[in-house]
Amino acid sequence: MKGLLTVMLFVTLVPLGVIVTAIPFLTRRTESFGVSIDERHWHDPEIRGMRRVYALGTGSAAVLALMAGLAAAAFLDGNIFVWLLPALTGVMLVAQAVFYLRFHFRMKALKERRGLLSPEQQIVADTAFHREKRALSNRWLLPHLAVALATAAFCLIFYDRFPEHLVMQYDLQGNPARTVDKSYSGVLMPVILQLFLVLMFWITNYMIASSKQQLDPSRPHRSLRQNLAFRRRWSAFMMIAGFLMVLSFAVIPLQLAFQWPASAAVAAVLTASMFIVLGVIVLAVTTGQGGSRIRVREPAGEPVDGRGNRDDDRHWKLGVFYFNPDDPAIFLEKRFGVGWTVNWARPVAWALVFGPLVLIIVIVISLEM
Amino acid sequence: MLIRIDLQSDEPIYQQLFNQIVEGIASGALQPGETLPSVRSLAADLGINLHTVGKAYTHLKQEGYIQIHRQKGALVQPGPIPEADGAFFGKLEKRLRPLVAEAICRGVDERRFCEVCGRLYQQFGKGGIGA
Repeated sequence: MKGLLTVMLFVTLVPLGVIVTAIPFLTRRTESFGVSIDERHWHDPEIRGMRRVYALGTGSAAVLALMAGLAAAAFLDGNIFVWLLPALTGVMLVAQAVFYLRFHFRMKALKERRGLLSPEQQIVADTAFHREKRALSNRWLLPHLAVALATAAFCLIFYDRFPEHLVMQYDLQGNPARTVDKSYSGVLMPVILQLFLVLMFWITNYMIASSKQQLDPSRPHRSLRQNLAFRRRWSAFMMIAGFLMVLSFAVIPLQLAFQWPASAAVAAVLTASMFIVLGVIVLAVTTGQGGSRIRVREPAGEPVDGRGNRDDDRHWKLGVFYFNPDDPAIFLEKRFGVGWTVNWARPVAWALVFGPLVLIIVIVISLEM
Repeated sequence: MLIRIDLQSDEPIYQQLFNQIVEGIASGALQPGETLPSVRSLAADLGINLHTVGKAYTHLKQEGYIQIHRQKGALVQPGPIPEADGAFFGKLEKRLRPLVAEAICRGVDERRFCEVCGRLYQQFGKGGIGA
C-alpha cells in the first residue's frame, strides 16, 4: 500500500508547507517576525527582504522534505514507513523554527537600531465590544452531539454485528497491526473520540468569543469591524469543520458492522481532513491575522493619526509565547500566525491547553487496558 | 464608546479611565443604563492590571456615575446623577485654582479663560468628544 503513504505525504506535507511559508505575509502589519512595529515600516525593503528569504527557506525545506519522503516511499521498505511521516513533519517544523528565530532576532536588532515603533503609544478599547456578536452560539454544536448520539445508538443496537476482534490500528500495507477483543468500550471508541472533538470545538469557540479585543489605535473603527468579521468567520468554519470530523468518525462503526473495506473509514477521515486543511488555508489567506486582510468600507471620518500600538515585546518570549502576569486575558491573538494563543502567565490557560491532552491520553490508555 | 489610554501620559491609567467614562456620559456617547464591560474583560482588552480598572470603577461608583450589580455587572447610572453640591463646588474650585493661577501668569484674562470653558461646554453639547 505504497499508494496510501504517497497520498498521506502529499496531504500532510503540502498544506503544512504552504501554511508555514505564508505566515509572515498573513500577520497584522504591525507585527513582523514576532516584533511590534509601526504599520508604515511593513513595506520597508529590509523587512520585505526578510519575509522573502524566510519564505524561500521554509518553502525549500518543505519541498525537500516532500521529495525525500517520496523517494523513501519508492525505494525503501518495511518499518521505516511508520516513522517517515512524523519524522518529515518534525524536520519541516524544525526548519521553520530555525528560519523564524533567525529573523526574529534580526528584527529585534533592526528595531533597536532604527526605532521602528513610535514612542506615542496608545491602547484603545470599545466599551460596547462585549455586546457584539463575536462568535456563533455554542448551540451550533448540538448537531454534532446528535451525530455522536446516533453513532452511539448504532453501536449498541448493532453490537452483535461487530467482529469478535476489533482492529485498533492498521499498518501502512492495510493489514491489521493490533487487535483487541470486542467490548462495549472498544466498540464505542469512535463515539468517545466524537465527544472529545465536540469538547475541543467548544473550547475553541469559547476562545474565539472571549479572546481580548485588539484594536489598532490608528484605525480603531476599521480594525473593530475587521476583527468581528474575522472572529465570526473562524467560528462558523470551526462549526462546519467540527461537524465534518464528527461525521467522518461515524463511518468507523459502519465500516466495522457492515464489513466494509477498511479503506472506507480511511477515505472518510482523509476527505474530511483535506476539506478542513484547504478551508484553513483559504480562510487564513482571505482574513489575515485579526481580520487585517478583510476589506471593510473605510468608516467615514476616521483619520489615521499614526499612533502606535503598545510595545509589549518584553511580554512575548521569543516573539511567540505571551507571558504577562499583569494581563488578566487568557486568550489573545498570536503575533506570528493566524489564530489565537494563550497568556501563559494564567494557570487556567495551562489547564485549557494541557487538560484535553491529558484527557485523550487517559482515554487511549484506559481503552488499551 | 472608544476608550483611549495614553501610555506616555503622566496621568495614571485609572484616572484616564475615570475621565474618559465621565466624558462619555457627558457627551452622550455612553447612554444612561448602558452596560459597561466587566472589570475583568476591560482589563483584559486593555492588557492592564485588574486593580487599575477596579480602582476606576470603584471611584466612578462612589461619585454616582455608574452602578455595579452582582448579576448585570457595571452599567452607566440609569437614574439621575447626584447634582452638584457644596462639596462638588469645593472640589471644582480646588482643581481650577492652579489652572487659573497659571493662566494669569501667562496673561490669559478672565474673558479668555471663560471662552475656553464655553468652547468645551459646546463640544460636549454636540457630543463632539469621545464619540
